[in-house]
Amino acid sequence: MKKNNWSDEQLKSLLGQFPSIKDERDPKVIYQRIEAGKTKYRPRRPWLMPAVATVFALLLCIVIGESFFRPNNSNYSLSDSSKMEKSEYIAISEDRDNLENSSSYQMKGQADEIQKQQTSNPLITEAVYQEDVGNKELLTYPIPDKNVQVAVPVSILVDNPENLSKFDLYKKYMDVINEDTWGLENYYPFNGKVEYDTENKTVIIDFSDDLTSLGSFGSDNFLNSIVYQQLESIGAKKMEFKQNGQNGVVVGNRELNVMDYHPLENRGYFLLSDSKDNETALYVPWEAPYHDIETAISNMSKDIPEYGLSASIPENISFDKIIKNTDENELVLHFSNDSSLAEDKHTVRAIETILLTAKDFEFKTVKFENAKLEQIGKFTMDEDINVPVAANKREIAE
Amino acid sequence: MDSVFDELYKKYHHDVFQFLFYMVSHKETAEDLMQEVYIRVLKSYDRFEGKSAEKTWLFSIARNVAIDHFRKHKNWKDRIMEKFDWSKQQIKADDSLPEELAILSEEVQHLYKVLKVCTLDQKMVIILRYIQERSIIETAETLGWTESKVKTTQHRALKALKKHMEEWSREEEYNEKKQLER
Repeated sequence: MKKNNWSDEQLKSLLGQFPSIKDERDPKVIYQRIEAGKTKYRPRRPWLMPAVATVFALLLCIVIGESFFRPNNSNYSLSDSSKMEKSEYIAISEDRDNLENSSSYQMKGQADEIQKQQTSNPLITEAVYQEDVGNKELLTYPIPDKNVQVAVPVSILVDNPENLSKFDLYKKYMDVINEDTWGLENYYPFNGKVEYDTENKTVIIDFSDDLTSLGSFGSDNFLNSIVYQQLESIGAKKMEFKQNGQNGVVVGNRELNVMDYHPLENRGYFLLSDSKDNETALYVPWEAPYHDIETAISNMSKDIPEYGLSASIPENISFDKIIKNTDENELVLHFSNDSSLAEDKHTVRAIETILLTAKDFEFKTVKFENAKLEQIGKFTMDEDINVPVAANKREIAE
Repeated sequence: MDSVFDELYKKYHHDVFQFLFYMVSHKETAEDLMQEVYIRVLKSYDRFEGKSAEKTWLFSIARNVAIDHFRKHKNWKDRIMEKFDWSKQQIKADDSLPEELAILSEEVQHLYKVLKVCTLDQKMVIILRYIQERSIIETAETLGWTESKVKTTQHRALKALKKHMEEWSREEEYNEKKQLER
């Protein structure tokens, strides 16, 4: 007869009986596979072959079936009429399909173009400045990196001819952006419904069964960074979570019902690179705020290896004086005499991440002193430099 | 063989492998993930500043590799599986027991299957606290959490396991009664 009531102690005792599972492979074999995997890691995918076989079989059925149901080669499609009502959505997803299917693959092409520019023109800036915005709308999407450890804010500038609300525009481009081409995790759109309560400035997300859009994160700061950035971009005050119409979701250790917006502030920016030599890099704010900007800047010259982030201020740059003119919202940084600035991408990145960090600490301008160079890229070193409005400007095809 | 790998293997391989195995309930996947842990560790070992204990650092990477695995796994595999309604096959495949467990009591075997209902955080705490028998302080250090977070998570995990074990017990009891009536 089985027990109907299990106590914690009984469960703990059963868990204690779980066997010790050993990896019986020879360490030499493991090491060889690691060496091979350093160049390319390919996890086993037992489902792949059946999936390919099924897709192939379905394609075969469609091809054979087509000859019975379509006597001529008209362009009629059964699904076309049913899709007509959702014209806006369809327009976006068809755009996306067309983009992905087109031989030129314009979106990827443009992202590749940026990457090429990054490498061919090392002094190109990556942040968004007020003068870049003009009549366009700025949309910033927090996107997890491929290891789902850090949230990367990626910004796009879009036209808004239909005069959509910020929320509608943000939602529209969730379907359009292609995170893969930026080397990031596929995160948008959410697996569920996203609505906006204008009166209460509340974003309501109703997830379907799959909660992987939120994940199970060890750090609360990660989820906070994502949600606060989304709310900030939309100009909303709250986010409400539902699952299949029921209030609240359980994510990792948290039961989420409502999250109120908290300003994203006092963060230091680091680099997320696709390779050790930092050929291309994204600017990533470290999720935990710093007590003051001096600490932030000092930490920015160190890596955060556990999270795959590299120092944004290289070894050849240091400051011996940091002055905060709070009345004028100006930050003055005096390079030490040991610093040797070069007109290269590392210096441009250091300047931009410092500017973004200064923005997080609510400074409006930054002045660099003792740079010994008049101009680095677009920056005139002996003048006040306006802080950017957002990080990681990327292009999309519309 | 690399001396760093050799040292890490001797000191932590067994614990980390066991952790990954119970996270994913699949030996071959755990083997793949173990390699990925070493790849990430060896890539950044020269930049490891020793601010946290080596073991904590290694486990934090293992934890992230496991989370990464579940997200990627879900994103692609489940989408395809859901489309073709192969969910039954999938459950069956996941439910296969390793030899080491097949010889143990029915209760232990079922608890192993039920472990799947826990969230990733809950599973991590269960593995470290009760399968690897670490203290609350050690678990908190390993996961980089506060002790109170470990306590809350372990409480919720046990509650979830209890609920499913009780449901299973009731079903078993009902089936036994029915058989006796026949």
